[in-house]
Amino acid sequence: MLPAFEYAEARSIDDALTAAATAPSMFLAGGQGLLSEMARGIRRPVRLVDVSRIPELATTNEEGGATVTGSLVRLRDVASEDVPPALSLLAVAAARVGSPPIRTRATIGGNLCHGLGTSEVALAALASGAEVIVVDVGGSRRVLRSDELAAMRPADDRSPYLVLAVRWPAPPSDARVGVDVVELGEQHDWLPAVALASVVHSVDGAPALARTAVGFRSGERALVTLDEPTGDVEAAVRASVNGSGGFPAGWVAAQVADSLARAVAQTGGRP
Amino acid sequence: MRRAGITVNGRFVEIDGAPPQQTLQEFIRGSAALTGTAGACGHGVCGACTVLLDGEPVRSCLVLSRSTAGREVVTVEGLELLEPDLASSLREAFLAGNAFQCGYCTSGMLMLTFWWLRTTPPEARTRVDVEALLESNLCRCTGYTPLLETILSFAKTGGRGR
Repeated sequence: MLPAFEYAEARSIDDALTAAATAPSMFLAGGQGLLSEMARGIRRPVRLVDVSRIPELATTNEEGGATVTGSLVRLRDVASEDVPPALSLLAVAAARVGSPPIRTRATIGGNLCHGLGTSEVALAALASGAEVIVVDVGGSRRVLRSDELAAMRPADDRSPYLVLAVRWPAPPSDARVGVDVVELGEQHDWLPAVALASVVHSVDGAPALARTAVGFRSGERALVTLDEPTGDVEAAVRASVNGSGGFPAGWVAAQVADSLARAVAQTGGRP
Repeated sequence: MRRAGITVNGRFVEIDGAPPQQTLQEFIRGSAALTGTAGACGHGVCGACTVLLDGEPVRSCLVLSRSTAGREVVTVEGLELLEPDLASSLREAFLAGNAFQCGYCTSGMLMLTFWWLRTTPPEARTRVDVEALLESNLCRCTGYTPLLETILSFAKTGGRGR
């Protein structure tokens, strides 16, 4: 049995914030990361606020050219080829999470908050230039800063905010899009040591965007941006990846270059 | 006022009074007294506790029973309620193909395979897909080859898809 905790079920966002205000709390969505960590003694929250039955967090909408996914949208529902262009990278990333029984329950918000540095959804969000919209326990809504997005995992057994939604920008209508997600160095618990998520846009055969998000199990995440996919990858990695999670920067650069090459190939360009 | 509960294999089982930390797997084996669902790793890695929640596979050790109030669960004992012919022929195929050794993972493997057969059209059932499916669950006897061959053979010849 899991260690003891208080349980509060929320039926609205206000319910959830009220419940979280009176005790150190963590928000429970699909539970595939949080409950697993509680079972292993990694987390011991005083109170779990179950937000899994708040309908407004489970919707997907098109807004101003972007696709907005609620934090409770299940990974199973986006791990598909039949998604809007804005979700191209998310779809591939979500399909790499766990297995079908895990993706049935796992949510976008849960993977963002409880994944290790290699969280597939967090890396897809970083590389896609997505905005993560949260509400603080005090009730203030805001968009996470890029440095917060790179380090969303709570430092202690208390959720600093409730993730409401993620806004994924659509690529230019005339762009061909290539994406790639790769996970390396699977560990004893099947989670990788390093993960990369890349997106490339090509307009009229010319590269218009090349970005790779790199995450390390140790927690570090970084975004590598190049003017073109064949640019100086190692220099870009050295400029943006601080410490490389203990891996040599040259090795990380080689993985980034390989990932970008696979993404470029999907756009019809030459790797 | 109706009390809170979970419908397990068509039977309503009350959940009131359960401690918050009770998992669905513990509820099934305890309150519902159905012991076909195994408990093994307890943290979502092995898949021995796989059940169908509203028709979809979940790790029942990673679901709180209270989060499941009002929903429908099917365990390995209840597969016949969904599709009797498929359930019984799949069990027979596992037996004929020696698709288990100690049997501890078998209920989870049956649940996963049953769901996959119901949701995957016959033309889409490939060896690669079955290999990917088997990555979901652990067989600690490492009996993956007979599992793979049994499921693949059954998928091509006996398992109906929707």
